[in-house]
Amino acid sequence: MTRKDAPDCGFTLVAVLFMILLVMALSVYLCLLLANESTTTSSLDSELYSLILAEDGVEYARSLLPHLELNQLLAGLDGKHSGTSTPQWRNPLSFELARGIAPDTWSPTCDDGWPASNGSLLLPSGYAAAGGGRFYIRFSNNPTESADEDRDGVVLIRSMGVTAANRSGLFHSSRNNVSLVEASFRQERVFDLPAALVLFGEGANFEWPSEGFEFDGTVNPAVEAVGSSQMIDSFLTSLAPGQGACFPGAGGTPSVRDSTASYMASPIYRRVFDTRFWQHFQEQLPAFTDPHQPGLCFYANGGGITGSFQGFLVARGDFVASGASIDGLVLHLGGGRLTLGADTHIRGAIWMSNTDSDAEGNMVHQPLDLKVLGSVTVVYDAGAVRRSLTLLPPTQLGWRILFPEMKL
Amino acid sequence: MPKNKGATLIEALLALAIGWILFMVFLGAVSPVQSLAWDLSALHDRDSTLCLGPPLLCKLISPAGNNRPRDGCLEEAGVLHVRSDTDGSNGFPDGDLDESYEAISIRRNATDLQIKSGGGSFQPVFRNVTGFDADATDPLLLRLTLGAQTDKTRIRMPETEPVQVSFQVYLWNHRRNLFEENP
Repeated sequence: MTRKDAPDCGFTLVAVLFMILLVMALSVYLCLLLANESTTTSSLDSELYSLILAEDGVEYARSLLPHLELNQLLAGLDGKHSGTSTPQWRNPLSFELARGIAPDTWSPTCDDGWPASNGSLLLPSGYAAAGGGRFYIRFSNNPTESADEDRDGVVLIRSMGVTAANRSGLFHSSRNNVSLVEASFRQERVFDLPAALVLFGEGANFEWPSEGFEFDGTVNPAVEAVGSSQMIDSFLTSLAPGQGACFPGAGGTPSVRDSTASYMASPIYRRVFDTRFWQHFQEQLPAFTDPHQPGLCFYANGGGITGSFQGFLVARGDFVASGASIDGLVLHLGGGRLTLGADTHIRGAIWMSNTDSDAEGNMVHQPLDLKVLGSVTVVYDAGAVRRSLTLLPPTQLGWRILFPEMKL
Repeated sequence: MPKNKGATLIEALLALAIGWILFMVFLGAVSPVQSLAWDLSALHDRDSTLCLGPPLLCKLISPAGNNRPRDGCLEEAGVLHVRSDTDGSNGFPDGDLDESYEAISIRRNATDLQIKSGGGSFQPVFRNVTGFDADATDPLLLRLTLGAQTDKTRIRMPETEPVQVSFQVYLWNHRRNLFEENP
């Protein structure tokens, strides 16, 4: 049969071709559907993971903050703040950059606010977590202060969680998933004491032994009074002739200074004049105490200590330290007498206060009560004080998730 | 005129008839698969709600209480109210709750999970929801239960029950501090 004889020959071929086209179109549709589902599923997982990583970064920053010098941190390793002109300068990375980077090879160009230790960044390439994700953290000053100088101890931490895009396979994506969390923390330095013995109140009962004890302020005063000049009078009148030599330190013998004005002027220290500060602190202390050494110990109903202790010791009521070697801070919050017994040696500082509130909520000072027995030495050591302060968790003032649509 | 004129028409009719028979056989074979796919699609929709609901609610709820508005997270008569001052004109909390999603309410109305932002009206977010329960007795950990059902009658699995998922949302701003936040 010639072509001329069978003009409709080939119809079946066309029909088959149409069928093949139909089947292929269906296959392509199914493939695209599968790809879409696969991308959606992996994107959801990955996005959740990036949020969890960002939260982890905030927790990392929380544990790091008590150990950091804030103004050095804000300036970065080069000691100079690079300004606030860059968009999203508070973020470790901009959202656009974070979506496109290869997390394994990226490192920051500006070191402002990136935590560092011994001259090198702690997380120069972020923290590498399981599954190819990373978090990056950056500190910046709170917006009520200038960007390069902190005075109140409040800083913002922005933590960005980045989960790497799947850059291989049939249905790969080139966009990382990114989440950004911001927390506002206050580093707690209210008990960064400036003297070997700090007395907060309006009067006190002191009992000193005739000799063999010493409160040494080294380059700082031995005794500082906060609250009222009556405290200094009370202290000075308690000393027998010649006992002033037991209080060496800056500013003469006995080395004593009234720090009320400087406490009032400081955004960090002036909180001690608020009754709510003391009320909250004592209410929350039991939940934060730590039985480990070094640790944060609270004797709510008095007691005693012997042997060595390192850390932050808080006591109320009658408390006796006898034959004790303490490295750090001792806070006695009244309600009884603080007794420093024989062979007690403290390297750090002591704070004493005995506050209460009246019916209107105003602060009322009760007399302090300090008894020193036998050979006692209290030597001011700023390093020991700072080390004990690292046991205090930062106060969290805020926590929020940031989105690219917001003003960053 | 060719001798076999009309053969093409007969061929076409035969092809159509055979094609129809083949198509019916194909449909007969595929039908069970199709009904199963129908059921699976319905179950997938239900499970999607249970899968996507928790992360969405977690993102909306976990920042509750930022900048300390009163009652950051409060459950009242089946409606969960979440308040958080998270944004302002300068990009920081500004002391009020007038930005989007700073004051939201979440409830179940019939088979819809609805969310209201600020002074707006409730809008459905998930459909075919059979239950939404919030337990705010722990100030730090909000316990949520979300239930969902399929939206169409199943053919091969008609007895499928509603499914629920329980999860907890950590309220970061309700974390306790040793020192007072605003002395």
